[in-house]
Amino acid sequence: MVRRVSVLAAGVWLGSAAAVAQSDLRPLLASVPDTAVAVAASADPVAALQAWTALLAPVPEGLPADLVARIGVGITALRIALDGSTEAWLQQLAGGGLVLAVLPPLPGAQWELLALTRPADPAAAAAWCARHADRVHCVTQGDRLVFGSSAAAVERVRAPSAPAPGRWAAAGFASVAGGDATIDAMADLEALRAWLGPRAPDLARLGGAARFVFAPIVHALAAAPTLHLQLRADASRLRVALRAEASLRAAPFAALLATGAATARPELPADGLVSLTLDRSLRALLAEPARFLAADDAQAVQGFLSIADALDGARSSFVADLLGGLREPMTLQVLPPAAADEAADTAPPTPIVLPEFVVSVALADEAAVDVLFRTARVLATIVNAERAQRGEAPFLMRRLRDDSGHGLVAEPPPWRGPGSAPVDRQLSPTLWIGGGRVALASTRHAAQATLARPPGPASAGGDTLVLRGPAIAAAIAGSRSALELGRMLDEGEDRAEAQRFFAALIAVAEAIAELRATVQLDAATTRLELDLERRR
Amino acid sequence: MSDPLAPFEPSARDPFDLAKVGHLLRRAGFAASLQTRRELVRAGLSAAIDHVAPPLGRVAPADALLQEAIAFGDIERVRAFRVWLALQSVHPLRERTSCFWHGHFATSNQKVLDPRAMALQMATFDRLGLGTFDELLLAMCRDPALLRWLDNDVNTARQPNENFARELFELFSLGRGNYSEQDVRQAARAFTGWHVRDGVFHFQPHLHDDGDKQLFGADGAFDGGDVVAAVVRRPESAQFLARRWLRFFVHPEPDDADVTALAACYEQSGRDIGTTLVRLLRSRLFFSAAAYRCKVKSPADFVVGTVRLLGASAAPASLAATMASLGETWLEPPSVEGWHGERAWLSPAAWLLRSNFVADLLAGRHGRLRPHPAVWFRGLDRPADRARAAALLLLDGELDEPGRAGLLAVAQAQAGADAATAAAAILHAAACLPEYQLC
Repeated sequence: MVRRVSVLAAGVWLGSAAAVAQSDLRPLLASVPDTAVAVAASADPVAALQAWTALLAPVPEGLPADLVARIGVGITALRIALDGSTEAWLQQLAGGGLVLAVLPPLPGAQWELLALTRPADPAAAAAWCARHADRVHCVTQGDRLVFGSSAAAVERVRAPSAPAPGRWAAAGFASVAGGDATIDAMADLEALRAWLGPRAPDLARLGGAARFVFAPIVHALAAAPTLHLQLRADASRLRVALRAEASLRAAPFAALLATGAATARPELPADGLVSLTLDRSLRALLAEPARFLAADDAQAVQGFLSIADALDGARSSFVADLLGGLREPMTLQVLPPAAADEAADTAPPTPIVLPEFVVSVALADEAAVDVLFRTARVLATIVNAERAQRGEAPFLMRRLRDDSGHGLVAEPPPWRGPGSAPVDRQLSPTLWIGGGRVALASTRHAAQATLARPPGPASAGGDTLVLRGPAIAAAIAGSRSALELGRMLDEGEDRAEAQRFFAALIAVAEAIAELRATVQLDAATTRLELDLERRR
Repeated sequence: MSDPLAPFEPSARDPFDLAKVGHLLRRAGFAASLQTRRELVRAGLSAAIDHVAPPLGRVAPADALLQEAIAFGDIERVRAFRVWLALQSVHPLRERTSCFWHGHFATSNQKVLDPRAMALQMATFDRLGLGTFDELLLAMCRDPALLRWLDNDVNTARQPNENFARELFELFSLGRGNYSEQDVRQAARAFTGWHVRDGVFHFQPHLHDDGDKQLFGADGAFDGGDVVAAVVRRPESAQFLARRWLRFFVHPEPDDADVTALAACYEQSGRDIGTTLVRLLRSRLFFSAAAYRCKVKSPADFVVGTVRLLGASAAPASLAATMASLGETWLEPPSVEGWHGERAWLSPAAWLLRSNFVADLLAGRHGRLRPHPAVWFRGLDRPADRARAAALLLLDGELDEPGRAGLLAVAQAQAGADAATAAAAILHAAACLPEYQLC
């Protein structure tokens, strides 16, 4: 009976407190010192916490029992430290709104963290602060509380009576007047860059791969004045949206963007693991390596091109004719391993089961097809010569044609040796042409299946990364024992430790139905969105 | 004249103590923790021998792990796997003997270019290295990695290649001076057509010379199997192997009398390697003062042994790389003669690298230490006690006065330090002592 009453009381209390939520955060933001470099705000932090809790709970099935036990102990310890449930504690201290701010250190000091809250129960909040005065720097200012990582941090808060609100009051948070964003944050990139000064990473001198892959984000971080972030969560999804007021489209590196960005892109099949499309032009990069890359990287690219250009003799240029004949961007997909052909292979099962990899791209110029085939043949000959040096049977080259197109397939020789077949026997490197597209794949199956699928709708361009947790978990599980041995050899773990690591990895992957990340550019803005769907 | 292979009988004057257990574990394995050494002192000599050489049937084979290790065809992974096996030392003498045979039938992946074949050759040493030499030598004559390494995969009746036959006599079974050029040529003909296909031994009858041959004074249409059968029966073979074993397990410069005694033991055992080695390991000769710390630790002894002495958990791949930097790259011996070892292992640069390795290991840069060596120093506040603990942990308590004084000086310099810092400093100093470089 007592328990029922207390639950009811808590419900009533929380309900009344909800009326406090959705309040105007402007007064709190007005007190944030102008020197703050990052600020996060939530008009209803309790709702945010509930959403996060709903998203994360229950812990994924399959997590090692000791890890689950540790999580349980951690939650219990937190409840003890907070004198009750986290929700009730947050409601009490910040039920009417929460603003967090990061302050750069004063000379000789540490970075500081500030929290400005409007308690739902000011008396209880004040009592909590008083009880924990030995550990927490907390002061009451009117209807609000100010927490700081130090007493000095608390002193840096602008007084409510200040003649004018600080700059963060006008910073344009979506949730400032009770918007729908669960958590809304902003970073002052200009201030951060100024503060870092010469210690700031030289983004313009990133290595070639990083410069190419992360070009839009690198540019945004280097050029945008501010970075906006919104986090929304519910029981099944987490959405993260980042926006920066700068765009690669207006920068010298804009030439790295693919010209065919608006073409249709292949959809990741339901059982696929990964799909990655970068709105980037390899042709542009390789055509002018010195323009985009550091001197060492540019030299390495020139070295590669001197070989690549020789593959087809004097008949074509690798960059102008081969890459120039493709309509970039390219899409990389990772697909589940094809079912083993039991009749064809009597060797013991291999401990490593490779997923299939395929890169596909639209064809811009039919003349590139001949260049592709000739280049593929030369590469296959080189690979087979190297195999012969090692006494290995060659891949068998076959020209094939079916409804999905035609292509060149390098088929692995049958394995008659001792034990399970080497991992390369799972490969049948394939160049396949069909439906105006080209696929270069680790297996014939992947190439043909990719081009046989209808392409997705025309894309607005941008970068897209899709990860499917259950398929990734299945791929890891298929080679788990060998992967565990890898950790034992590389990390010095024992078998039990390696098993725990992969059990946790698989459990987490299985709990994520899909993670989708997109980067979109317009003339002046870069937007990065992450959408994580929890599997229920 | 007394029998050097007579069993060592512990006595009050010459007990089976920590020094002897440490000696046995270093020579017949890759050392062991202080706890294991103390347990074996209590258990006695027979139990200690049974610990380093348990019946093979009692030890689970690592076949599934082997398949996982070779699946990627990556030599670094195979090398790390071999270091992992040495770290585990489920059967210390087997791991040690496989190491011996790897140096004996020294085959390098630099030419073989087939990590799988290299791994399977090592697995053959694991499987047959303590069996009869007849069986092992025949298996090696059919081993794909060795056949390729010594060009026998191009040895045909029309164009015999003598490389394999010559090394079979000179390096694997008889030794220089115990065969003639005529024997080499005839044996090369006998091995024609012993080739490799798809990673396994493959006899090609149409490339084999099945004519009559004269070998060691006998006539017949010999093939490779006949050559092996003839070689292993020759007394020079027993002498050759006995000298090799004595150099590896007992003393770098063995006495001729000891060689003869061990050769006789080997013959009497039916050329059984395991039986012969176990007899050697429990002999007075093995535990003699002359044999104690008379060999230089190989990089494997030093690296793997230090990890095992400290009870550390280190990444095998990282240890294999350290061994390589010290001059011992498993699966890639410098030549067909293997590693010359002993004094060749030591140089000023190698000593510095050894010192750095121990410092890194104690700093946790090669993996966790468990238990942390500080555990051994817990409750030891006096520098003398700490120096003694370090000497016990790494040196079985056996070191000379200058070494003892040096350790004490380091311990005194660390008097104000906490147990972990002091332990690291004193253990590092102990591992840099000349005694610690000896096996």
